[in-house]
Amino acid sequence: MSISQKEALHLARQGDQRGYTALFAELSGPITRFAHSRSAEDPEGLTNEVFIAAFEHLHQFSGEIDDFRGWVFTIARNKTIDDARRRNRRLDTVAETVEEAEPSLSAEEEVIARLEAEWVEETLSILTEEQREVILLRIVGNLTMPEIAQTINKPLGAVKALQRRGLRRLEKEITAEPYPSGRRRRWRK
Amino acid sequence: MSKPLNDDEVEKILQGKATSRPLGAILESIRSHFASIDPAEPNDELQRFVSVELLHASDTKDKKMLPALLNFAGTVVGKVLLTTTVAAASVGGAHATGIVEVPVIPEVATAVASVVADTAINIVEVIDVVVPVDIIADPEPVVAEPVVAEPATPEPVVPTTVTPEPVVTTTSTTTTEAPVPRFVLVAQTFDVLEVGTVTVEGNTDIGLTILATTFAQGWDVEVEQADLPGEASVSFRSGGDRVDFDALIVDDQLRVSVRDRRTDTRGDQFFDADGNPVDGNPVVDPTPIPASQTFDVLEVGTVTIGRGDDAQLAVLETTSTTGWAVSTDQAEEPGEVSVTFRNDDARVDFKASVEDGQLRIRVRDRRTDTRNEEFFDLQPVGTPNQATIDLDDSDDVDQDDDDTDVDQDDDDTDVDQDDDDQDSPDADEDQDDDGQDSPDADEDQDDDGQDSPDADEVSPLIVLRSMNVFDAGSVTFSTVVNGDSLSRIAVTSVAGTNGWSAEILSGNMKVRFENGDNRIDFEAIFNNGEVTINIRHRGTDQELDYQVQIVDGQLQIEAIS
Repeated sequence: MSISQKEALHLARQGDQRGYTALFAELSGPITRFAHSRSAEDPEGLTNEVFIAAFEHLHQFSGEIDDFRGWVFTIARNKTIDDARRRNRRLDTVAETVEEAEPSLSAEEEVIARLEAEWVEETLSILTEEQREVILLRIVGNLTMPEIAQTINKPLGAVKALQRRGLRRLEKEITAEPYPSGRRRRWRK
Repeated sequence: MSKPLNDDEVEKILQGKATSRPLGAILESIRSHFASIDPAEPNDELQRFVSVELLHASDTKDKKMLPALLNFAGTVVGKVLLTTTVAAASVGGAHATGIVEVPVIPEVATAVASVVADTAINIVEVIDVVVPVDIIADPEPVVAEPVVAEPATPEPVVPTTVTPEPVVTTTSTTTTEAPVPRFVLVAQTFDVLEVGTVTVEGNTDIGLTILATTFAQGWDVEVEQADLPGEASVSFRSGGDRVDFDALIVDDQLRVSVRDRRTDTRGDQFFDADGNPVDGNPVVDPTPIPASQTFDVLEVGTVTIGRGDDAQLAVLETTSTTGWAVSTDQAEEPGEVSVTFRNDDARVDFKASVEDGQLRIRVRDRRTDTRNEEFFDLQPVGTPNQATIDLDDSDDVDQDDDDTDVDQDDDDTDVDQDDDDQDSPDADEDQDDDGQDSPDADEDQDDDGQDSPDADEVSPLIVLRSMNVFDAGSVTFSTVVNGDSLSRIAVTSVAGTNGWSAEILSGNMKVRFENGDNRIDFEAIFNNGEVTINIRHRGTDQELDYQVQIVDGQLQIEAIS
């Protein structure tokens, strides 16, 4: 029988493994996707690190389940920042590695997947770092606006403004003349 | 150009309910791209951590966790743990845990060995870990199923960095003697400023082991690669802030170093094996920033700096003499504070930072392009001090290697830190260079001639601020300040310039500037104690957002990228 997230948090606080499992099952997907969206080197490993940190410090978290998602995403965000720093430090010394294709994908699927990833990256590159972060937390992390405000430690009004401006900017790019800035565009249907 | 989005449309689009709109389709494509990514599976480290965490908890608070632990470890993790009664080996009144790979045993891939303080309890045990005899309180043989393991080299897989390598013997009952280390530190927990704690243990032979870390909300913790053998290094991070903790056994003492990179300060403290400070000072506090210290800045005003709420150097108060406006600027460097005095075109800059355990004060008088730099010994916390900075001759200019920083100030673009090409530097200048504005709410109120009884008795405060709106004019608005929050905002007056007309619209929250076909909209938005300002130039489609908030008792308007 499945348990509610509120109950899962309660159980986890008691050290009950069912609580840990339920919280991981609920949030590992959004966290993994968020880590991917932030170009983490090892999104799956980072996700695990996030939950280790969250469970280790669960006793310090005094909020309820409504705040828990934001709290976990705060940890995830900090880890993606650390991850980016580490990658930047290594840029000078490590040659670019070629990402291995998923063995289950055909060559055609692989090309499509790569093009799609490029398209997403290009599209998001239109946004400022903060706008991108807010929008990704919203549509990839499925966070509410108050949760995003908690995660990035900004007032709710500022988060709304970032979201509004980011979306306007995306829309402006979409409705602008084709190839306005020399970018290759590949809009999906 | 399509109609601008309103909040309802934004919500519909973000919820995937408006995919027919081009923006909705784009967002849906991005969403579906990431939705195709499978969630991470719990890896061994997480599974192992949960095992150990449950074990920790069972020691201190909740014995009923053990069944869950066994179930978890035996099924989910795929590891087998054997239960037995263990005569606890005391490690200084605390406990240590380790996970040791035991090869060759088909059913037992990994076992959790626990050494628990004080008393014998039911707990998992498969192998015995050789512990120096002097710290084994009760060397009674462990009663457990004999484990026949080949004397292969086991690999510790404890999820912390520095762990004494256990020696696995071929029976479960053998302990071997080890040399007695000169210095044995039992588990000790150290507070690391306000950012977290680190618990370490160790001895001179094996060095230090990090047993546990905790971190305050908003902070993250990372175990670092130690520079020296046996050293324990941990860094706490929060955004761009960082605090480092290092511990090392030196000359039979434990040296704990904490470096606060926010203020570039560092403190060392030595402890004995019982965790007592060697010199009697129990506090590791590397940031002896004074509670407050006031500096006269030429004839133009004063700046009081001190330790802020976040333990960083902060501007606590400013005053200015008649004709001078004062503003606290965004710091260029972590741990630095910056204040600017302006009087028409005249300008005096004040900067303070903590460097190498001293307070560094720099004052630049741009009227004469003279500057001075002085260092002050940091006063003990809580010791107010008064100091006056005089300017030396301009000879010092050549010695100042900080020209780049100063020049950056002139740009006034530092507020706009993002790559948002819609943000014009002009707008930032508008915010920064507005000489009419004083961040000191009391001053503004008094200057305005409004009812202004003693500020200490006034609550709430009404604070007036003005903002330039591109080159079209200015908007003055009043805010009602209740402590640290705003309870109201209303536009009180507007002025158009350069051919622009300005009109306050109904509700006193919007202003429209018009110049022929050109139009600029100013809107103040009040929502649950938060105020944002949106300025949109319809002609150039530039858009600026600002957050209005109370910071350290002062009204600040900060650009949102």
